[in-house]
Amino acid sequence: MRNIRLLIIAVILIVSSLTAMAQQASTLYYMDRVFQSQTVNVSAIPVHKVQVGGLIVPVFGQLPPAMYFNYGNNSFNYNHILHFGEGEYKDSLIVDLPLLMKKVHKTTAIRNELRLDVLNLSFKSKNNSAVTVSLAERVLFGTTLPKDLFEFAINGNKPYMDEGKAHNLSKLSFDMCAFHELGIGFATEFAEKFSVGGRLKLLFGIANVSSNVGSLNLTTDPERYYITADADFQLRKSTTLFEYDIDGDSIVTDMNVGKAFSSFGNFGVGLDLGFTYNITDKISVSIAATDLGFINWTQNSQVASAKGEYTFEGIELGFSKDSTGKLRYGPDTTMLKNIADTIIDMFDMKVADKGYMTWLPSNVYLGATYQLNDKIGFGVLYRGEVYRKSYNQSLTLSANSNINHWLSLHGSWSLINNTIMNVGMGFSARLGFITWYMVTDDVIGLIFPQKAKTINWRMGCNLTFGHPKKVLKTVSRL
Amino acid sequence: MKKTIKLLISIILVATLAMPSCTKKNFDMDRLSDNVVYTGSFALPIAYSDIAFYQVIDLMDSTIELRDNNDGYLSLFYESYVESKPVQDLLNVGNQTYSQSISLSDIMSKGNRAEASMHYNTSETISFTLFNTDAEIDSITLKAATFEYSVTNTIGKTTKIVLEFPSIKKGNRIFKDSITLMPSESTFHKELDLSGYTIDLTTTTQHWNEIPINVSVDLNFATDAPPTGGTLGFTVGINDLKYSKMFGYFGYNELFFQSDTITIKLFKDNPKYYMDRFYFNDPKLTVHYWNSYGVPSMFYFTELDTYVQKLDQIWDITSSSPNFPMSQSNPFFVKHSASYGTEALDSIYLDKNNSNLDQIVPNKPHWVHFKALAATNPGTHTHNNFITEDSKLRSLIDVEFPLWGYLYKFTYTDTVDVDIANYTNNLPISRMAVLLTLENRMPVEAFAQFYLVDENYHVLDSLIDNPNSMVLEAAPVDANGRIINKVVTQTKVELTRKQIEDMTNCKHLLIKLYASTDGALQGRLMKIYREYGAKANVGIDVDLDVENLSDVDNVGAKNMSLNSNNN
Repeated sequence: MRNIRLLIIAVILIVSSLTAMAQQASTLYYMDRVFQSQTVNVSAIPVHKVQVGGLIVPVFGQLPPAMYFNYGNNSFNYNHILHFGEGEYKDSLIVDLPLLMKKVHKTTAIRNELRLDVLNLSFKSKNNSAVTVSLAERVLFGTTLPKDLFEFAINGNKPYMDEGKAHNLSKLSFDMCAFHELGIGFATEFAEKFSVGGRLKLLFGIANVSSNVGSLNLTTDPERYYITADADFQLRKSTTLFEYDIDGDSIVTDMNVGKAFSSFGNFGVGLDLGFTYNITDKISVSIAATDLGFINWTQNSQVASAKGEYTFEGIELGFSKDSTGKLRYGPDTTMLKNIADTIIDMFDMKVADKGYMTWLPSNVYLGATYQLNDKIGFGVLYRGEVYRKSYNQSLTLSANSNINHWLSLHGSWSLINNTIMNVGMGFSARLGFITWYMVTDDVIGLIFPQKAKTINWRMGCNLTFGHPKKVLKTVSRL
Repeated sequence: MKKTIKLLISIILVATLAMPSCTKKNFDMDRLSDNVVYTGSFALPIAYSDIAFYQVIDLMDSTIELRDNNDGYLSLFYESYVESKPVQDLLNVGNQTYSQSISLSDIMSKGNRAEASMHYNTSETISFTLFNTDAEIDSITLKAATFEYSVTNTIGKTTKIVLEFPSIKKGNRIFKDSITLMPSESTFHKELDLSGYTIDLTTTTQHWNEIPINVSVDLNFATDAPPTGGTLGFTVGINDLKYSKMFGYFGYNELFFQSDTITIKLFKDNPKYYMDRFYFNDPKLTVHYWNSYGVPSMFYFTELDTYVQKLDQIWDITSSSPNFPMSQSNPFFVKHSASYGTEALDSIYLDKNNSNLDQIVPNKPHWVHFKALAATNPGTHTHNNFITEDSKLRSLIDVEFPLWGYLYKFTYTDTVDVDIANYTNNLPISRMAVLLTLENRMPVEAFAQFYLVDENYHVLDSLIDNPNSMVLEAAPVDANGRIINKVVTQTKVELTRKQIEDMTNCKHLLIKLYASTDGALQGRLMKIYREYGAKANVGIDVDLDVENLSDVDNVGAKNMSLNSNNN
């Protein structure tokens, strides 16, 4: 019982955070001088013979810190909830729920990823083969909110009741996942036209809280206003990050970050694959897939399952004996006592100390480039993300220029999260053996986050050795 | 190209520098206005109550026992237990003692003399002292007892004493013991365990209450001079006697003489409920007995009366029958156990045919007082009485009101703490309707009114304009008086603006319920079965119209509190 309560509290916290897109790096895909582009297309052969990067590198590893942050929401942005009004409210923010309802899609996918590159190494041989080693800490949040959830909260349940419809919340999901990632990759060129690469990633889960909803429907009976929930779902958690006592003064009794981060019990495997084909000197096509894999959560893991139908008829008023033994008529106070207990009772939830498996949010990239001249090339990239029960897509057009031997600039325009207002930019600048880079798929989102459905950036500093004498050609890398 | 790059960098720099001020405004929560548009419409179940009829009775008087009677419908019971004391206290067999003194001259004159020894035999009878002088006990099986004897010897020679009790046996083994006193020993004391022995008290000529004892004495003076004088004295006792069973005739013994009062709260005036008129078709006062004494016993009331509230009088509960079988002059002879280890059950009752109960009940009796006596062997003298260590006479006096009758104008008032104000205070409700669904599974018609009450219990408003519109129809019954199907009544009350505003001060809900059994005015009798009850569902249909965030600032700030109130 206590464990389910903890799960529910965790669920509420996660859902309420609503920050949540995995590895969306469309502009980075064609940044050949930044070997982190290998994270999205593993068949990309690094330009330099040796590259070292990551937070572990003294001084340069932190200037700036090697990291990647991404936020994506396919339905609405901040200004779709809060925006400046008109007239007397022109300088004031107003809550605009009707606008929010207009913008909400059938399913709202909110994704968030934080990646800290601890160490990146690449070694390239003379025959254009490369071995890469990477160590990263990754945190993924994701939640999918069905439109009917907003409908219930904003318009109420009555409109659907009048129409005889149920609020279908079956697409509701959330997932928070933190893990260590150790990747060993290999890429090689052959027959001068092809390059192929693969990366095996060993994953070690730190913490996970997730749902697995089979079905969840809420129906309001027009005769008596009973609300019936027809549910089949699981709440799952696994972590050694903290100990808890749900009945204590403080629920979390002991945080043990060191134990969690040194824990290698929740083992998983991931795979990145890539293939590039240079059709001509000017035209190339590529296909890549990232994060094909899973984590098997076994440490301190629990699964709470609920299946059935529950009808809420209101608070029960009945007879019970008070502390003096006197019979009284009133509400069943135990029902009001704790909403978590109520939910547990509602669905007769069963908790089992058992392991479970979660899939990584996987991406597929399809790209093509055209090299106009030595200075500039153009690219097109389609990206598809499979995450739980949703599939999100984006399309990016980019211009990529290696302006000179030390500077490259990249610009992109993307259709991401159902909006075309995504202008991406990126650069890499090399000073001696030091290469700085920064890239975003939506610079407008960084400047105007209130209007952004996508906010992402990646930055870092690599130590690069063995710079080729001629590296102006931008995207073919061959 | 360089110009293009410079232009691009300039744009980025300007945009980056411009970002903070533009963006900051959007995230400055101090700029958040109260203006909001929220128009949700909710249809929600608020509360429900499914109450069985018997639960209402329990609320009125929790001391009532509710049971299905032999005819299948419900009866209310008020009860009082009377029970005899533990049998070992009532029919107590105390310590039994016997003493005897034998002088040397007795031994010399009546005994056998050899050259260096003397032998003497004697048989005596020990009489038992019992719990009453009439008792004539045949046998006692001992659960526990101690046999104790003391000897004093002034003869001064080696003396062997043998004590034998031929009627105290364990199986076929007779109880006996022997001791030898050396010349220097003048006193001796010994205790033996008699647990498991059976004492047969019928072997003497009297045939009851006595047991024989055989005493044998041997004096030995082979190495000594013959005795010249002295006395041999001994005392025998059976102490701390606890029997497991006892047979015989126990005489007249009072098993109990106790009084008690049965309080009947059902008819007492109560601020919460009031019964204007009612009729119980078959009230009863029954005395039940459980008798595990194997002894003929009698039971009667020396006092049996009741207080009737309507007349403010104390009435005797009397029988219309001249042979009223519960009085001293005509006691009730209780069945007794016919065989060892069994219990006899018996009962006798008063009803409207043999007593004045039908006059008493409509006048609202508040209590029934009685004093009862039970005794053994009333005028009988047989030797087939028996008891065991667990024998007991128990008596249950119950006043039964079978729920077969009618009830007219039953009024129930209660206040439930419903801190509606906590939720409705400033809640921007543009429209609200209350949906009340009543499901009746009783042959009872009723209507209810709900009042909104402030913290000082002042009525602010009523929820229903016309209570008559809320009549709960009685469920139809078949020829046997059992309901055929439930009746569902549904009413939707659109609240006025004033009623909605009154809710902002509502701390309690005052409920008034009026109910009568179907056809009560015509004297139609109804039976109430255990499954009878009613279910009420309250739902609300509410439209919210939030135009200002401050409207919802205080809503739901506290937990809703709902409690029954005893005021």
